[in-house]
Amino acid sequence: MKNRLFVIFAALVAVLFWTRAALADGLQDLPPDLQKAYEGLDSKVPVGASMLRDFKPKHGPPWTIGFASSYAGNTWRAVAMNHLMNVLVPEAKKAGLVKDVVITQSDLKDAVQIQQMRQLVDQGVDIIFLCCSNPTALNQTIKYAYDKGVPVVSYDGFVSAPEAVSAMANYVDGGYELAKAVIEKIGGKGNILMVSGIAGVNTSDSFDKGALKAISEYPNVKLAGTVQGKWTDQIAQVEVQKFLATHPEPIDGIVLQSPSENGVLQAMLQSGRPVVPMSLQGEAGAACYWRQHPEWADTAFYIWPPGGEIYFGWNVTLRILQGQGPKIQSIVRKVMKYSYEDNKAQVSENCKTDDPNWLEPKAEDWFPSSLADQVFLRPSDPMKWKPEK
Amino acid sequence: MAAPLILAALAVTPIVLAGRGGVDLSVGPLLGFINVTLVKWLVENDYASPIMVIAYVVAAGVLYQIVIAAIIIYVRVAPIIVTLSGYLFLSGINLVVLDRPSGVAPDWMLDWGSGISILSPVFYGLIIMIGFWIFFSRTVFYQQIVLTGANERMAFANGVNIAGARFGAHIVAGVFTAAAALAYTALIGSGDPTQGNTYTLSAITALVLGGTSLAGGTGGGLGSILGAINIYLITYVLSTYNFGTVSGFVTQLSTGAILVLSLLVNSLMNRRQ
Repeated sequence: MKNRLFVIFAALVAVLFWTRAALADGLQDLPPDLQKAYEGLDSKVPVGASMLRDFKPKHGPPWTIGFASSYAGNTWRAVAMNHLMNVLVPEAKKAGLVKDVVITQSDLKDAVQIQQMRQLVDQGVDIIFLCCSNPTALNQTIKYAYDKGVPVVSYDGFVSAPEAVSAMANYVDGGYELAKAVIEKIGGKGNILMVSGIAGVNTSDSFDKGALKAISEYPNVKLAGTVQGKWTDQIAQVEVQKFLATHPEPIDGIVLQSPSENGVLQAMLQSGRPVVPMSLQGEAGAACYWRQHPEWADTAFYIWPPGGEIYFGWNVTLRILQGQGPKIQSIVRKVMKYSYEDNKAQVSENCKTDDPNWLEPKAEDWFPSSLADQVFLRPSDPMKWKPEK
Repeated sequence: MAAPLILAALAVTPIVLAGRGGVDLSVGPLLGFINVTLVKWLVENDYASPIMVIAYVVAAGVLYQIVIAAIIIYVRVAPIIVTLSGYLFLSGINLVVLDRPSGVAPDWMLDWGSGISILSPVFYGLIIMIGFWIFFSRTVFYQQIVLTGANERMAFANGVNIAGARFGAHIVAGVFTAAAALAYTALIGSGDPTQGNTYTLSAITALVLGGTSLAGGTGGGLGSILGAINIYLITYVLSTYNFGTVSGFVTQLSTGAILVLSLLVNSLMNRRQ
């Protein structure tokens, strides 16, 4: 019995060391300035050495790519899908890289997404990419795909499977920065309302964690309440209306998760209260209001711009297919600040405050090749890449 | 992969059969509740032996159903209200227990969900539970449930313990929800506080699709099984076609259309009798 215990203990220690070594492996291979983007990252995000470092696809281009989308019902997804179908795919087809993109929708049902991903693998796609799904539920399926030679890329959110590669911004840090910007705008004191995304979804929780950290750093700032905006303008609008109707105390600032700023802005306008500072993340309606009222905010942030994020995921997907070898399991960038001038440059004078589109950073700025060069072992521009003869 | 849905549909079946507008809207969140508590309370504290887990999930399912049944039968609140409250209550509790998807399933269950071959442990579990259902549907007790649902007064006049039959229906539902939760935990290999909820609508759809009348008294388990498989196959077939950007909507639209059609056929056939 004692012997057995010892063996188990030794095995545990070995596993512990091995995982720590793997952890160090992935992150330490990156230059120190890149490692900064990983600070404060959600502890569940895997940052070990990628298992796809030596991945080679079964055949050369053109490839078939599976997109296991989990949802299509809000403006964010619509803009991302549009960008994929009208910009990214035609471009890659023209470059002779992509034959077809097979898209499935699981409507936020994990069991359906699992089934669809297995189907994609069985149908013979060369790679699967997906957006912001459940971080743990797909792990067995990702392993199933990996065992059949199909890698999985998750963008705008991570999956915890070691076989996958995640491409995302640091959302904990994003929540922190965004909340801090609002708090500083209101002078470091007052009541804050938080409009969260969807409780239980990792991206949303990461953001809230960062935002709460910022709020806790200011003793004179009080969190007046939290509502769930469900990343949908209409829902956020109704929830904020309900909150304002039942909370007569002044609200001095709103920390929110986009997409919801259009809805929250409408709710504030309808309530007859002053439009207080809120976190701006590029939704065009709120951006329009900002253009008309420059004093409303000092800065805004790109945290998950829909076009930028899908470009990020797509670019990583193509690079993996080209055998460029990602160094690390999660490719993480910091959120991006932008100013009133940047906003003014993108929004026309006769804009509308209910415009459901998005301001976007330049794709090259959101996932610059300078970053790509450092997180891949054999980097090259995916559009100019040629297969080895 | 259709196992959780089949079992959830079977769970609602006896409650609906027992009549008086009986339905269990909380089946999805209960499934989620068992899933998250199993992962959070049992596995994280190393109580993960198969016997322990099975005992726990069945006890949790049955206990919840007993409470619900007591409120419905003795306090006489409409089932739809009670179970809707249960739905909301459990949805909230699930997020308190596990604030986001995480954790791992018990070790012995981990490779169940890899789905390499059809003859997986989940499949055998499903066969056992269907066997249990077949056994259950041959008992006098099952007859009493159906009779209660079909005509309560007549059942009472013939000496059926109506309250007992209803209670029993809920207890059986608890057992099947527990089995569904196990199958679901195996499928995702982890805990998820929000996903269970989606099973309520699918399970009731499967039940209606399988020909069980929501008024109670007619229908049965076989129909629910076929209904659940049907819903699964609809999604499966629709996923093989590439509808591009709208495929999510097409699937929902088709499921809705098939549901309406089956209800129409159902009511037309009932009228002819």
